[in-house]
Amino acid sequence: MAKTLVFLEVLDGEVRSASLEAVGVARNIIGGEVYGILIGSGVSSLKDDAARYVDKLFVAESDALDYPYPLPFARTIAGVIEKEGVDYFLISSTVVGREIAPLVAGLVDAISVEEVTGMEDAEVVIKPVVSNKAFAHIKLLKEKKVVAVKPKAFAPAQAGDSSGEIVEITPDTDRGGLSVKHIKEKEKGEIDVTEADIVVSGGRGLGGPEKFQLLRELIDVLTQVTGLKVALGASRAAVDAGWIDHSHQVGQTGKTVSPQIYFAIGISGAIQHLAGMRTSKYIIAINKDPEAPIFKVADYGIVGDLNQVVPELIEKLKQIKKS
Amino acid sequence: MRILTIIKRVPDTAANIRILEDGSGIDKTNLNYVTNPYDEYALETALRLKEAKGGQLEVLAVSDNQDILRNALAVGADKAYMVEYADYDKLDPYNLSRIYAEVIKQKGPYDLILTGKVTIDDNSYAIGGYLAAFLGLNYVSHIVSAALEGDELVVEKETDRGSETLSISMPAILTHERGKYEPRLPNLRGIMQAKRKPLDVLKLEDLGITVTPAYEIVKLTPPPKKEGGRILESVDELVEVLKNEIKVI
Ligand SMILES: Cc1cc2nc3c(=O)[nH]c(=O)nc-3n(C[C@H](O)[C@H](O)[C@H](O)COP(=O)(O)OP(=O)(O)OC[C@H]3O[C@@H](n4cnc5c(N)ncnc54)[C@H](O)[C@@H]3O)c2cc1C
Ligand SMILES: Nc1ncnc2c1ncn2[C@@H]1O[C@H](COP(=O)(O)O)[C@@H](O)[C@H]1O
Repeated sequence: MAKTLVFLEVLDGEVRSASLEAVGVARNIIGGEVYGILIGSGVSSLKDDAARYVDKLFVAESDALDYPYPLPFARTIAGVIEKEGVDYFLISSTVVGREIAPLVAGLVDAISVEEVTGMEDAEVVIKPVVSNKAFAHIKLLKEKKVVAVKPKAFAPAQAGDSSGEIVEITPDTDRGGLSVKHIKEKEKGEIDVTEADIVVSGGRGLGGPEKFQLLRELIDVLTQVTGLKVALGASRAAVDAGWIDHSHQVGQTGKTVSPQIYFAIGISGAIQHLAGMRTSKYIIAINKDPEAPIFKVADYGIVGDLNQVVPELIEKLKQIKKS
Repeated sequence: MRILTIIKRVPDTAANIRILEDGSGIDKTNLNYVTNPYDEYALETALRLKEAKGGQLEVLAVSDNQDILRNALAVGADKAYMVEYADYDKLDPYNLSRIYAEVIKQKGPYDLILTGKVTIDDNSYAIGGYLAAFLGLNYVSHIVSAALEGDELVVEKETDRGSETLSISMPAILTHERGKYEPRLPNLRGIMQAKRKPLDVLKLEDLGITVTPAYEIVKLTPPPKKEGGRILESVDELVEVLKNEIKVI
């Protein structure tokens, strides 16, 4: 029977929803026994809740691991894989996940595949390649497999009625020559584009940084009327102009997203932008130029000036909220 | 300081990609190639470190073609290695990393190795982590800049946590996110000089490596087709769509 280990990434004191999606893959696609692992400083407080999702939970608590140092995290994971005879390691394809996955794979002699968005079965994974212009179906040929699954691509696991066994382990704490000098935390409550159900993106058409405030208003009201996670995105033109931070950029050299709804506002739809968002379920474009290439991929479009369309949309949504 | 940058040739980001009928690959006729954009940022950071501290910068690629290596020499790298391999774009990241690791063992030691966080064609983020494991190097991924403060190598990262400033001791391998500064372009003088710089071609046999595939691309399929949809006449209509078609409100 297959044994799968899932890394439960902790961010802002919670197990990330993306990690529960990885547990979902272990349960629904791979089958067999499902183990979880929590590593870091303060993770013990999450163990009872986390244990409800897995058959066995390894908890590696240490004050020394107050940051996801890749080497000790990977060595601790590799230790469990080897000791328990795990065949499959799953992690979510976040920055932390993509950093650790290949390192673990190298330590346990596994094949490592990141950004996986689908699986035919436990052996054949599917992921976007050549800038989202194709999907590769990849058969994993090595005995041990490391797969990083893209957030939002798979259904999350549900908590079980009974809890898995909790096993406390001692992590490796050699930080591998890495130390943290400073972390400027991003604003609390701001949702990352890769984890959002709805992304509202703005481009050069906004005309200046202050217009992102308008998009933030739209995000607030959308959050209220839909109850979904809504995040702010941007084109490279807006990022390069210094209007918004690169962490919001969608596209070739930004993030790849596939939310339920993608709003492209004042974005022309350059091929490098499409590379990051064309797999969104519904694309809604607002652009004053009817010839803008974004309309070729948009499911719905409004040809018009965003300075009128967006405030009107905000108003109409507010009315719905009230009623 | 001895630095190595690992780079790769990828289809131009602006290229239209056509999948072959049988799904066995992409149509390569008339395809333009460029250096993987993230590798260009890695190279730029390497050049800046070399300029600040002095030393030797080498570049490595597995390829069937020397263009991108000549380009790297033209912007300031001192020496290049090309591992000749006709099917380099079919190599899985596990085997690619084994090849790089072997070159590094034979040509190194290096104080610092830099590469892109991902190659935009195979979209695998795997090289940096594999090399850190295979070579026992310190490692951090997704950096946006790196600079020396005295003997300390200070890197910045942008992550889901925020902006991070970290310090890492060498020897280390770093993978590069889109950088904080734009990569430089070669000028004519650089291009002329590049012709006289050493470019060693290596063969797998000489490295003593045999490749047993760790994965196989069974087929390529196109992304779900977007037809280009409906133009709505008013914001009211959009609200109706959100209500009745997409059903989120
Ligand atoms: C190697 C490489 C990597 C790249 N990576 C990325 C990437 O990751 N992400 C990315 O986005 N781009 C990327 N680009 C850049 C890309 O080619 C485009 O330049 C960029 O996407 C354009 O951004 P934009 O659509 O905001 O601006 P523009 O192309 O200038 O479009 C602005 C749009 O706004 C519309 N508009 C203007 N005013 C209004 C108004 N008042 N109301 C409504 N609409 C209005 C215009 O009609 C126009 O369509 C990359 C390029 C290269 C070469
Ligand atoms: N065939 C190749 N030749 C040279 N470098 C490569 C090759 N494949 C991958 N790389 C390098 O490894 C980095 C990460 O690649 P990957 O993990 O495959 O996306 C890239 O940014 C390149 O620098």
